Amino acid sequence: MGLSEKDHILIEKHLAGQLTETEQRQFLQRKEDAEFSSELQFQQDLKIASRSQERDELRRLMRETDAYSRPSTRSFASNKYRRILAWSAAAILLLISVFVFLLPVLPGSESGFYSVYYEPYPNTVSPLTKGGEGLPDGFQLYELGRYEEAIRALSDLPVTTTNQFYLGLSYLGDDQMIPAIAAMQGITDRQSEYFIPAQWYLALAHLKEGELDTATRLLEGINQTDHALSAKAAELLEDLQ
Amino acid sequence: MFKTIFTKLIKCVNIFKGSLNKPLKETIALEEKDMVAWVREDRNRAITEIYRQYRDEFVQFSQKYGVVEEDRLDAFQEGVIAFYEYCYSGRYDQSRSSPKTMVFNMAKYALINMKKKQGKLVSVPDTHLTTREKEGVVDLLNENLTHQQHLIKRGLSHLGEQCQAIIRLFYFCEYSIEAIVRELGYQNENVVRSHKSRCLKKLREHLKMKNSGTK
Repeated sequence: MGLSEKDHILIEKHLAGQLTETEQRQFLQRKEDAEFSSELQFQQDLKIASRSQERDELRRLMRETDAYSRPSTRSFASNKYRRILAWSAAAILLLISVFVFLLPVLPGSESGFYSVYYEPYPNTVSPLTKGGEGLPDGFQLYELGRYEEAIRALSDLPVTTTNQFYLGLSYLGDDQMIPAIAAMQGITDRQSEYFIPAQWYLALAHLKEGELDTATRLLEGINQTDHALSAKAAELLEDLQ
Repeated sequence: MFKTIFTKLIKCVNIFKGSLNKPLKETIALEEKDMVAWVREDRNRAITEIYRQYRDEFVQFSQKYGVVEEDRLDAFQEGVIAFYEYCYSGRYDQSRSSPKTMVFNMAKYALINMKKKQGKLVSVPDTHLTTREKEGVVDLLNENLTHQQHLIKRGLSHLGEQCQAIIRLFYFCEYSIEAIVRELGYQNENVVRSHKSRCLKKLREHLKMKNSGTK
């Protein structure tokens, strides 16, 4: 028979905890009806699912913050420890400086920056969970470092910004720079949350290929934004000079 | 080999330079913010800032509880979420305790309960949380969705942006239909109701498809 508008308003008010005494009585009566009860259950489940989705989104935000601030903050080294590390590095530098500065400037050394700056982007689409069930999807295979399988799985998905981005990342992980560049270049939607990260990985891939000019141009573009990666881009640009 | 040495050296120099010269990052004075309003108006920025500013301090501070770093970080994340939900509910009284104190206490309580679930006891002093505040943390840690709720959650991501916005505002944020009219700039309540009804219909159709696919 279908529910009336009044029924929907009763459920709406019940979920908001705004039923008057009279409405509360009507609500209890209507709950006896199977269709009403089923709709109520659906909307209660939706409320729980919506809250769970919000929580997942917050966890994703925090993981992203971790990803951008690594390794300096993720390692949680104390200031004292960092100072010791810095001075140790200085001592090592001193010891080998003569050796290093006698070396000629090596052609193509920019590709080495790739390994210094490359860090896998976290899987924020469907992260692996402790005790998770079923076969891993393409994003999870990427997270597990099973790049070849991830490439196969992600290539089968519809071409969307998210799928392209993780496909590109999987190629990068598998050390296949040319398809990685092609996939990252496919991300052209500037409003997408993946646009700047894609530009970053594209720059790294070009560096690995020894294409310094293209990489520099991309890094300069990132540096002009207020994205969290702009600081890293600035740091890499400085290193490249 | 020379290339690797070369790049590693450059990185070392940068770390060294950074450690000595890098000024402290400009921080937002969180204590001065109206947290309840901030998390409602600018969720992403609020959460990122709260997390970024207190994370390392909590992870270091909680070292004394003898729990591995990964678990301390997990507990901190749950503490931030519990704090966010508490702010969102409008129950957080900033004059009673600062955001940092509240986040730390919730994270500590999350840590105790997470370890308790694993059958381990963590000796943490009183968290000074009220029963209601503790309930928020426990509710978060005990989230256990039914199969149907899982399907609904997955189904939500298949809806359009406008549907997702209405559903989030109504079911999570607990906005009234009238408030949604104002928030999303609809003409009137009837338009929101009929749009919401269409969104729920799409969601049901998605579930039907998924349920018939698994049978």
